Amino acid sequence: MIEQDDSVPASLDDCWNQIGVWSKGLATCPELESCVHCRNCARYASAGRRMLERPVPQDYREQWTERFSQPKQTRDDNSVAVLLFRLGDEWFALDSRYISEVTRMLGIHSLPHFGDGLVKGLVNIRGELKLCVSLGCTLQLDKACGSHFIDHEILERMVLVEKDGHSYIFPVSEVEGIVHYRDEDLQALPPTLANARSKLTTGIIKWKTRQVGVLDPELLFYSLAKGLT
Amino acid sequence: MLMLLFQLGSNRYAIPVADVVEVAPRVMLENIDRAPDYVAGLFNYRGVLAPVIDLCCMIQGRRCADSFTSRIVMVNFPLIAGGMRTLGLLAEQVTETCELEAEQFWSTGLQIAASPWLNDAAYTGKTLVQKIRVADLLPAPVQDQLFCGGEA
Repeated sequence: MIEQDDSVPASLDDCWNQIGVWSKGLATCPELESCVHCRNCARYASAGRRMLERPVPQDYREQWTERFSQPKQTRDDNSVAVLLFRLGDEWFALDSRYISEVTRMLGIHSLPHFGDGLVKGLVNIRGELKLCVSLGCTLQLDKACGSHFIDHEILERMVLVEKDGHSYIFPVSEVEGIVHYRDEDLQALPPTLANARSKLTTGIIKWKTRQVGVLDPELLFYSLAKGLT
Repeated sequence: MLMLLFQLGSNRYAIPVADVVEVAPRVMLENIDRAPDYVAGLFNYRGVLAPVIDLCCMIQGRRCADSFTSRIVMVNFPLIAGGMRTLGLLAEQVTETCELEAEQFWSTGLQIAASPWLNDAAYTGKTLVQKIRVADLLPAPVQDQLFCGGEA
C-alpha cells in the first residue's frame, strides 16, 4: 500500500484549522461571510492543490512503474452486459443494448378497454408517449405474494426498452444496475420447466447469491408485439 | 475541443485530448545514454518501450519538478517518415482539462525557429494558454534517433 503523509506541511497556512468555521467569540474569518464554510473557500482549494506539489515517495513510483509495465486489462470480448432488475420475487436480466432508459416511477395513463392485461396504459417520457406493458403478465409471473422482499415504492423504477423502432416501457420493483457475465457462466434451464417464463429465458446466471433469469430479447419483443395484436 | 492543460514554470500549455492516449504518473524511466538532454528516458509502457521527453527541459532548460502533479502524457506521435508511435511527454501541473473551441484560439503571430511546435493561443479566464502542436515537437534527426525501425 502507498503510505500517505496526511500531515499539513509546515509551510502551509492552515487557516481552516486555526480559525475554522465554528469558533465562538474568537477570531472569525471574513471570507466566511461569502463562502459559509471553509470547504467552499478558494484558499482551501488552492491549499489542497498544493498538497499535490510534494515530492513523490519512491514506493509510489515503483508501484506505478510495475503497474504500467503490464499490458492493459481489457474486458473480455465474449462478456455480455445486462441490466439486472427485479419483478416481485424474481430477478431478471436483459441485454443492456436494448435498454434506452431507466427512470423513476411515472404516472401511467390508463386506456379504456384495457383491463388488467398486458397493456397498462401510456407513459409520458419527456413529451413522448410510450406504451406501458406489464412484463409480469408477459412472463406469466404470479403476483408477488408472501414476498420475502419488502417492496419499497422508493425502489420502483420504469425501464424503457427499444428494439427495431419498437419501444415499450415497463415498471419493475427494483433495478440493480448493469452487470457483466461471460457466455460460459450462462447455465441452461431445467428442461422440465415449461411455461412462458422459461420460453423467454435463455438461461440462468448466478449473481451474488441469486439466480437470475436472462431474458431472450428476440423472443421477448416478439411476444410483446404478438400480445398487443 | 477538449484540451489537456499543463504548466511549465509559470506558462500554461494545452494539447488536444484527441492526441492523448493516457496520462500516467511519473514512473521510473530507463536512462538512455548520450541521448539529447531533454529525453528523460524509456518508459516500459504496457509492454512497449516508449521514449519520454521532458518538456520542461526541452522548453525551459531545467528538469521537471518532482511532485505528484508532474505526470507523463502519453500521446500519439506521427512520424515524418510515416507511421504513428507512442511518445511520453513529461510535464508539470497536469491536473485539468478545459473545453476550448477552435474559434477561441487566435494566432500569436510568432514564428520562433527554436520552437516550431508553438501554435495558437487562447485565454481561459485571465491565463493565456498556448496550444502545442505535438507532431512538431521533435525535429526529424531526433525522430530518426528515437524511432528508427521496428514497429511499435
